Amino acid sequence: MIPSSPRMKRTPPERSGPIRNPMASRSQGHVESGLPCDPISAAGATVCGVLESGVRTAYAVIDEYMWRGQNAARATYNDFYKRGPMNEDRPNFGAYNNPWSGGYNNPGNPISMMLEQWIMAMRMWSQAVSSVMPGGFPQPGMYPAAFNEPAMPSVTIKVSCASSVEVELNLYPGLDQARLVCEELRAEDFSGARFSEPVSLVREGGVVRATVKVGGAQPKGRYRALVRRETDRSVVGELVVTVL
Amino acid sequence: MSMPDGSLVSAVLREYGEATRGLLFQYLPAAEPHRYLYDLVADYPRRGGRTFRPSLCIATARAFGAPMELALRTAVSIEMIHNAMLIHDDIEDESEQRRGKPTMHVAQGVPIAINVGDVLSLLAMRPLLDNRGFLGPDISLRILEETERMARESAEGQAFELGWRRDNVSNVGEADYLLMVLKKTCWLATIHPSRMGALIGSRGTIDLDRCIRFGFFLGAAFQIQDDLLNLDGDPKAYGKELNGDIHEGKRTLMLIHLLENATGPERDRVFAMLRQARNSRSHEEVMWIRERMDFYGSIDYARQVAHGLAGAAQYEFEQLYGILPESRDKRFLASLPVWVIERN
Repeated sequence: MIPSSPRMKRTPPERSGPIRNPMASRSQGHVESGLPCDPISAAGATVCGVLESGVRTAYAVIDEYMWRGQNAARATYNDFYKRGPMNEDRPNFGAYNNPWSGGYNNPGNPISMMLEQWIMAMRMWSQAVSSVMPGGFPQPGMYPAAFNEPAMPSVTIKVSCASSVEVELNLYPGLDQARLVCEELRAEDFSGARFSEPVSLVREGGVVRATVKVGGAQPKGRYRALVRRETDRSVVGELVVTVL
Repeated sequence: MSMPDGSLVSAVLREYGEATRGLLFQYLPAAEPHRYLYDLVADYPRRGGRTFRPSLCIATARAFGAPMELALRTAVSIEMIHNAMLIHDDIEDESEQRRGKPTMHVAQGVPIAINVGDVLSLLAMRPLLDNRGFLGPDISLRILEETERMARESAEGQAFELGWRRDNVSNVGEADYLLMVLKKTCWLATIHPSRMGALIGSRGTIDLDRCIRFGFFLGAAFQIQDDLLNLDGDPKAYGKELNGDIHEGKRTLMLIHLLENATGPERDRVFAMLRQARNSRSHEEVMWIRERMDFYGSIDYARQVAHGLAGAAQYEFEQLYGILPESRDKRFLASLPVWVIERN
């Protein structure tokens, strides 16, 4: 008979619970107040219990608030504008295909990934409770499809100047092929300083060419000007020039 | 190299705050009566403040791609309404200090302070009317509608709090508190600025109700942190009297937690103090309540709830803004949940 040797034992790995605190990823499992958020320890369990309880209550409050608002909106729905106060009657309300979603699936955001399951459970819990409410609970999917804009036009900027400048041209998404005009560049600090030379914006196909001339005597500072569509004068963007 | 979150938030608040104040003062009339009205209308805005609300509006609009100019008038209006409400809140709460100086009604008397608050909220309509030249009539009208709703929600929240204090209501729970905060604080501080930024930035193409959840969690964490600073903050940086909320009998999360955990005699003692008029409440009683909050862990409890709400705000941020292109403004918005619970 083979003599038995003492059994080898592996030390169980230290368990780690789900991180349920936004500070935890920044402070190695400890919240900034110095309280541990470790579900194994008694104190940590208390902390995490508080977090869960507080957030669960908050989700219940906001879910009921939205539900009541949607019911109120149905009662006072304004057909002309196609929007009640709670927007639930918009044509895209309730769409499950949400082009905005996916942020929490982003591997670059570990906090959201860790919070996802926990918070989804909070939502399910509050919806389950709410399902026994009179009148039921609004179906999930208050995330309508939207913001599907065409591509931005390309921009080229030509600057002639005696001093160093930075030029930034911001155009609204979805700009069409309309001709553009740029208003007078004025100092952002409301000092009254202006650019003496007008800015030229020329649309050539899908490219916007901006020409900015900066005189040698132009005071330093940030200058802003609105960019408008020439036909209806609606605002479509902004030009920012910083004279350094 | 990207800035640390706190520096980024400070830089954006400073930049958008300066732009907001620069235009705000242009909307304040330089006319008679100076002494009894228009000089006073400029008083609270001149005292500074973080300009968190207008910055949130501008940053949201810019995160969608809109130029700052388009959101600036709405941001100015939000800041003016905020200051107008502060004047009235200080009267209702019988507060003594605001941003390090005596409150308007302490310095000028209640009747004049009420009038100044009224006028400031009316003046806040002018930049919204001026929006027509920048945003067109449809979006400008929607902003006016939204402003009316925000004002109504805020007043309803304030009504809850004032009513609970007047009637010394004893059964205010955590959910009641959060609903009150949703209306009283979150609508003006976070929900409305987010909705207006998204409305302007998307040119009215998105469902604004999607901003409510993010704004609620962010604003609730903000309010609880504000309440904590009232107990534990640096008096110089905080700008209001420490323990003022206890003195005013405000139903904070810490007070609710204390009342849920205190013994029967202790609860009776708390309610006896809350039944008294504000100026009859002694410093000793206030400090006793403060000590009991420490004893029962009410302050740590509230801090932990604020952390949880900030986490939920981060989650809702990704749901709401995750698909927007990376930008400084998006990073600013993403940094806010942690900033609101770290600020002092």
